[in-house]
Amino acid sequence: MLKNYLKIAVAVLLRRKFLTFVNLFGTVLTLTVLVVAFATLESVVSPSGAQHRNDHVLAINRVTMSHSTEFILRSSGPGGAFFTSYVKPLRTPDLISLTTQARTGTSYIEGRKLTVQIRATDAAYWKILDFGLVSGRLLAPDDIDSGKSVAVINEATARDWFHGQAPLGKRIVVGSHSYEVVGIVRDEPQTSALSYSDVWVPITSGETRAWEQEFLGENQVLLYVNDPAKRDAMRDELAARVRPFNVNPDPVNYNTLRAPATTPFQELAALALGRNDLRRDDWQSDPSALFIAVMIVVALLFMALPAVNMVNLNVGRIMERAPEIGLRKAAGAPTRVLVGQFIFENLVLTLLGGALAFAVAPVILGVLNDVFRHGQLRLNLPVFVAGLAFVGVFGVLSGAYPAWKMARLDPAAALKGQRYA
Amino acid sequence: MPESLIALTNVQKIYRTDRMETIALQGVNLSVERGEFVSIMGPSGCGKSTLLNLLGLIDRATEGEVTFAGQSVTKLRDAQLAPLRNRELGFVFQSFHLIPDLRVTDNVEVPLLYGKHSASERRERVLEALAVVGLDARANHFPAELSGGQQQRVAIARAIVGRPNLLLADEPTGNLDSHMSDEIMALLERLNRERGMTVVMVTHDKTKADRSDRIVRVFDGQLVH
Repeated sequence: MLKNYLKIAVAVLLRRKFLTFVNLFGTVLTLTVLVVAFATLESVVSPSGAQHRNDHVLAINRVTMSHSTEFILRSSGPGGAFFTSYVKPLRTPDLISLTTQARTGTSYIEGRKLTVQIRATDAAYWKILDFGLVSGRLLAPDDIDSGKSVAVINEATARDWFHGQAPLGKRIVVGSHSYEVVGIVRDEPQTSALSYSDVWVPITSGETRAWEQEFLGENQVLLYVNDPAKRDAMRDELAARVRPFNVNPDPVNYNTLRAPATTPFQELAALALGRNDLRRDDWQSDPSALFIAVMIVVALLFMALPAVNMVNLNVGRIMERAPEIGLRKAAGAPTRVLVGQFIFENLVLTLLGGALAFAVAPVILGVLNDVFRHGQLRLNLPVFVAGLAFVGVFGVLSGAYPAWKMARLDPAAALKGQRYA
Repeated sequence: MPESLIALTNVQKIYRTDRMETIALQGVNLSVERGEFVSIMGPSGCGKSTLLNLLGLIDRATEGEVTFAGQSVTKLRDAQLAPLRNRELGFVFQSFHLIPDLRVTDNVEVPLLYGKHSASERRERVLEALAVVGLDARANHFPAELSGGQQQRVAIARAIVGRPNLLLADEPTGNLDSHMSDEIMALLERLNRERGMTVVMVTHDKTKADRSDRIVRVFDGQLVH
């Protein structure tokens, strides 16, 4: 019987090709967007690569000075003076690090312009993050203390600069500064906010150390704790420390300091919800729960779109088959068997859409992996299957209701093409 | 004594909508004996097809009693009528009602899908039914690739594939030319005569009706003699 059902299912899909296309397009689009969105989210927030110990880490990406009554503020990344005054004295973290954000640097080699991302780090950075060392060594405390002009580069940069030659011991020039390559690490994707870069150099290797005196700067602070359960305590200690703003660089204008220590997920949630409006004090509350709720609602609404589309198409499809239903009933088909047939046909359609999405999604992810530098977006199978199941359930329900109504018609009425509506 | 296969006793059929009531049949008493070939005649809209649908258990009487092989079927639920139709009845329609997306064999197989038949048994019966109607060479064609007469023969094969006792034909030659009509009539006669199949046929054509054992005339929803 299934063979007969399958034949008729395929024939029905081919009978109205445009409707089938619209139906499949909805399913494929939904599943693909779902998979791509989740892969991107996963890439940003899940512990992986050098950031596989994310559960132990909080980052301070933004420091804001404002006035409690006047409408005035300054906001930027943490500077050296903030780091020295507010972060270094913390007792809960087992490791703390100050690095610059990844910045664009330009170099010319053999007449070619090469653009790289460069990040200046301290020694703790290499202990907090766990880079995959390909050859050579990572930056050592002595490199930082001495302000050596040495660099660790990633594999992509090694390929672009050295074309298969051994890079170790050779020099690269970024901007106007020359560095000796001492190590090569695996590529870190652009979506990894803490580890992403092409070139890493000592934070002390710059021409001046004025950054040590600046309260704000384009930097990033990492706080690491051996026991992940102590992350909240680490956050609380920082919050308590910044509350009395007693190292005020401009006591006339600012009397409030905020420096939230966040996980990558919280950072993304705040960004997505627009809660990094720095005039508000929203950082004190965790935006994760609201973000998850919004994501779930958006995902459900998005998946409901093809489901509604499917309901509409199914009703039309089934109603035009009234004579066939009448014939089958006259031939002795029980109502439940007829309903089963239409459910089977919908399942075929859903699975076909799923199969197409399974083929399309990796292509889209591949394109995005080229858009994001060193992108490592992957198809998450459980998410894909869950999305497919959701669309499938809606598909089945959407087919079952009109099929049940039609199958309950008297055969004589159905044979005349009568509809239930 | 002839045995009644299906009988209607004082049957009434009323179609109701929100606005009006239409009496399609009233006070109908009719008994069809096993092995009989009965023709139903009457003008358009007189209730012939309604009568056939009641005999075929695909419509329900508003009042009255319907018995099949001596058993009342008036109050049977749909789930109980379905297997009875599957075992005992075969239908042939004026417009064939073949499923255009299925090949001839798959169309003929449809009634067997709802019975307890193995795949090999279904295949065997389908080929046998096609041989009876002389279409075994067209088994893999789609309906659109066949002439009207051939399509009706496929429909007859589908009607007899379950080896029913009662074959109901609603103007089976209505869409066919005279040559093909004769072929279909000959086929129905052969099924009645050689296989003992009871046949009830609705027709407008007096010459076709004259070839049956008995003619039942319907006028304004009532049987006339």
